[in-house]
Amino acid sequence: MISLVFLVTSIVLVAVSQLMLKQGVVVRERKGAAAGGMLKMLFEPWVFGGLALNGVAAGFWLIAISRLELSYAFPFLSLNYILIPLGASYFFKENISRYRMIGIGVICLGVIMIAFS
Amino acid sequence: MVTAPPDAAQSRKRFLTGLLFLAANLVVSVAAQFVLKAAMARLGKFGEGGDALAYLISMINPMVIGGLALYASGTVLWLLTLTKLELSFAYPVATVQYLLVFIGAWLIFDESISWLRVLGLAVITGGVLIISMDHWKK
Repeated sequence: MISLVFLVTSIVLVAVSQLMLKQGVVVRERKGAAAGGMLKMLFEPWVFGGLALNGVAAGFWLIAISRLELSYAFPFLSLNYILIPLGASYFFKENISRYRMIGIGVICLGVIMIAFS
Repeated sequence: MVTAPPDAAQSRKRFLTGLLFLAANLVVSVAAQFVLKAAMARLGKFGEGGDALAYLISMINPMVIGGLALYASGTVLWLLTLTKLELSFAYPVATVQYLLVFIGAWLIFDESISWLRVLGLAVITGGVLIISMDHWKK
């Protein structure tokens, strides 16, 4: 059970970090698209925070796979196909198409099957 | 956006370069998972006896760092792939990664893979393909 907590925490953190990176890009664009280039982009707080959170997520992932089989843990990464669109729709008002909704449902089913395997 | 006039030889070269990046991305990303799994297997299971802090510190070792570097290279290769290939093509092909991880987990780490797990993976892959149909429509 505790292994699952590490695993799911890692995956949620990855999703949050992706949304933070997106927010960082949005903020930079608002400041003027080409302003500063790559290095300035890296030190945009949202981008920097997103990358840092990605590092934390990697730590949780490592602890999870120290306790779990790789063939069990790895398919859970597909939860990101669900979490990221949901977050993007909530925070950035991105559209979730019908195909995407059906795909999300199917992926959920697959992950549940893996969870009980 | 202004695009160059269609040039068959050029777009073919672009496609092949993209495929090369995609193949490299797959190999490197999957290898990263195997290196990380092997590195963590050497450390034993976190939280089962021993000092948690000492365990976390022992995670900073060449094998883990090497695995993470591979993982980061995989991300760079993915971004390079997307400069050459359509996301609608690269995205579903990238699910091959799941299959490769399964095969490696079975061959290298002797994991017993149940039919339910195989079926679960097939269902997930189906879900990703459905999502990418969204791109084909456009």
